[in-house]
Amino acid sequence: MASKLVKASAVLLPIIGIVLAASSALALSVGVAPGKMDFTVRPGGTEVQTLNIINQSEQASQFQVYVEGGHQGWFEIKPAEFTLNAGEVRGVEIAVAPPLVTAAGDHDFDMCVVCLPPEAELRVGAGIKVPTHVEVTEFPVMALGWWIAIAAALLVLIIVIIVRLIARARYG
Amino acid sequence: MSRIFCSRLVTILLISALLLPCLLAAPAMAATYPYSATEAVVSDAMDYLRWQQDNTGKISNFATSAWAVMAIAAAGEDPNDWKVGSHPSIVDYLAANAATATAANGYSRMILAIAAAGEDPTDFGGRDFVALLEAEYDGNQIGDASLLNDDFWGVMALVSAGRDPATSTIILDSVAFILANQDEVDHGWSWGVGQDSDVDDTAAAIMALIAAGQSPSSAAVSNGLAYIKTTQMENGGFLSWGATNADTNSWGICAIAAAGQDPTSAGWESGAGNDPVDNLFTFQQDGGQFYFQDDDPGAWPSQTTAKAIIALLGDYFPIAVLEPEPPEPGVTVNVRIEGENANIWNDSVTVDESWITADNSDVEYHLEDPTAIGALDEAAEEGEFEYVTTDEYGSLFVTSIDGEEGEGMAGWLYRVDYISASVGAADFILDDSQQEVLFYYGEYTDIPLKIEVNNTTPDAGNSFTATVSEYDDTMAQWYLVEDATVYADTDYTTDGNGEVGITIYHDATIDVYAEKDGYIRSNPVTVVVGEGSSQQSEGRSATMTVDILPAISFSVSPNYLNFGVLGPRDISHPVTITLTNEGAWRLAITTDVSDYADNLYVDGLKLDHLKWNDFEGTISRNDSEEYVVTLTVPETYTLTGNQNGTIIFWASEAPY
Repeated sequence: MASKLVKASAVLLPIIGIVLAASSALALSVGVAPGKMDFTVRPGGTEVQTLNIINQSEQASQFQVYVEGGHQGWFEIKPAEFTLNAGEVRGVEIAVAPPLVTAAGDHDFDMCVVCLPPEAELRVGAGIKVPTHVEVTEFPVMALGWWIAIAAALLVLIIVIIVRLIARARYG
Repeated sequence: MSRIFCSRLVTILLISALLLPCLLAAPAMAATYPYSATEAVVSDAMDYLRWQQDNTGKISNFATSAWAVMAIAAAGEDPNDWKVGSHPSIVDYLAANAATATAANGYSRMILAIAAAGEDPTDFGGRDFVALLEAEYDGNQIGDASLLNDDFWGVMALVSAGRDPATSTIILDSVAFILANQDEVDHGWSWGVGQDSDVDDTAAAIMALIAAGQSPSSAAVSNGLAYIKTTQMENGGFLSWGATNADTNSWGICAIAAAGQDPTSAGWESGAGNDPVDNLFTFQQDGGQFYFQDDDPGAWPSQTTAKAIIALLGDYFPIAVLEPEPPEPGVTVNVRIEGENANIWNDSVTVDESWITADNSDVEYHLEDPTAIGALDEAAEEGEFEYVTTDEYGSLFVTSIDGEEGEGMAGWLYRVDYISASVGAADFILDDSQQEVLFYYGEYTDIPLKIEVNNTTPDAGNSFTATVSEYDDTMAQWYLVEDATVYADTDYTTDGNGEVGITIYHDATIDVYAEKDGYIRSNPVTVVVGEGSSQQSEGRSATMTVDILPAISFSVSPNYLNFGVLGPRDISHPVTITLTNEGAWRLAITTDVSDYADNLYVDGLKLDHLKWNDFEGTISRNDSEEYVVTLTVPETYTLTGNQNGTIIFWASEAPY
């Protein structure tokens, strides 16, 4: 209510200037666990871990979770936006799935968790960046062998079908 | 021809354009109270609840999850199917956290939710909530005698659990207590005895009375409804603490529905033509959820939403009433089996006729009456342990239980209510007067011990007394036992009065029992110290607890900054912002600034005299830092009025 009154009075002020209305001075408090995440995943595979987010504020707050550091398409975050009541904890599922063609190597990201008060004047948010390391392993040789074998078998099958079709066309 | 066709096409399009909004609006206009679960007002609210569910199955918190289960059931869905992926359902969550429920209102809420989910409230999450609630009855009413709300919800819960309100003494007495505490002037009810009436509790009282069989036209119910009507505001809602709110409206609507009335009928319209359902809708948000009041989500919007769903569906409490289970035939008796070194089984069974095969001869005996050996047979089936019998002496005798066989003078003997029986266990016919069948490994000369505790729920650090006595078969008397060893958190020895004082300094749940050479191990008595422990300790184990901090956690205060009134070239007064490290790790702090103010904040904001993007700070564990923020308005700045922006303080682990 105080906020609305001040906003209203600000609109009525005749002077030219910048007016930034006061609002209720509540604290935002956010926590995460774990503080670091490590994924080890092969190309084409998926690893899922849970990032627990805690609203330690005394009021319900809106949260967003997103990833920074490139390769954002590797990540699926569920849910990426949600509200937590005071004291509530929510587990967010972070799934990492590098494409099949990804080369082996280490990749570093920041999993960003941000808590914002409602839209108004200069709002002050609290965010946490959780260092997230993804190790993409070599594609398993056995699996690679199987893929090659399957591809070769398919190729042979296609050739056989084509040869038969040509033979039928020629000889009726 | 072509012109005619074009003309007709244009006409059809125009008519369609006029009719389309009407057709689209038709379903919404057709929807009236009570709403079905498929109508948007309900389905959007259900979607919101579903979105709030986490991987544990929980929605918001334990109590809210119970209310949500009732809403889900009221909407015709199975709460057992409410889960995130393959994670536990909301019912699984309630079962896993059943120990969280305490006191009469907690037990009642659980019973109402469990019954709504189609589960058994007498065996849910390892607890018998009906027995727990009935244990709160003090001979006059349920729970705290100064409270009324635990009687309203207690009555609804017992009816929901299948107790017959016409014969249940607890329900009959509690209804009398509720009726006796209806306010004589305004005819409403309050949360407590002698307190001012309110709509929420009057609504609960009305639903309790109707659940207990009171006619909606009875004076108590109709007067209660009249009280609710007196609180109606022009907006149609019911007054509570100076304004209307969604929670009060929901329960008010439920009570009206329970009485068979339509809350949207003319009788429930205010002078301005609004009804309570109209007012309830004003609290529904775009996301489907219901807020407590305008712009105020309240403490638990999911709980408010669950209650609103029940109200909009035209449902009321209790959501489900279970069929009473027919009494089991036979005799219910406790069976305690004391092995050579430890207790093997201690629980009640119901025994009727039994078929027992002698292991030595393979002859099957049909015992038509409930017998002591029949009780052992039931216990063995429930406890999944083996026992061996022989008939080589003309009747069935027990030679082994759970792998412990007789040796020398020691073997398996039995007593009923501590008294040595004069017939074999297959011939001892039990009746309802007997309480315990005790099978024990020992000799004929062994004497039964009994332990009693003067306080089974002491606070941590408070002493309680255990008293050990023995039963003298010859004199048929109990005598106090000196030098018996009492096992609790550690070993104790009884004094000449058979007593020992025990003090446990941490929360724990412990089975206390006594032993002495030449005696039969005593009955165990469960002592809950303080809050107890979720896992029962045996003998001398200790409880361990730890409170883990999040790795990274911090608070920012305030969450808005006010720089007052400024103009071009002005530099604001410094504003202080405080960051507190509430986590386990040392924090590195950076900031990000964005705005919709033509870069006013991006260009002009400084922290501790540094441009915000040059600022870096660290905060140690348990420490706080204050940062001074200033805003400089450029000389050439052109915008006026309120300007919005956002500053985010980012925390990550600080390198050492």
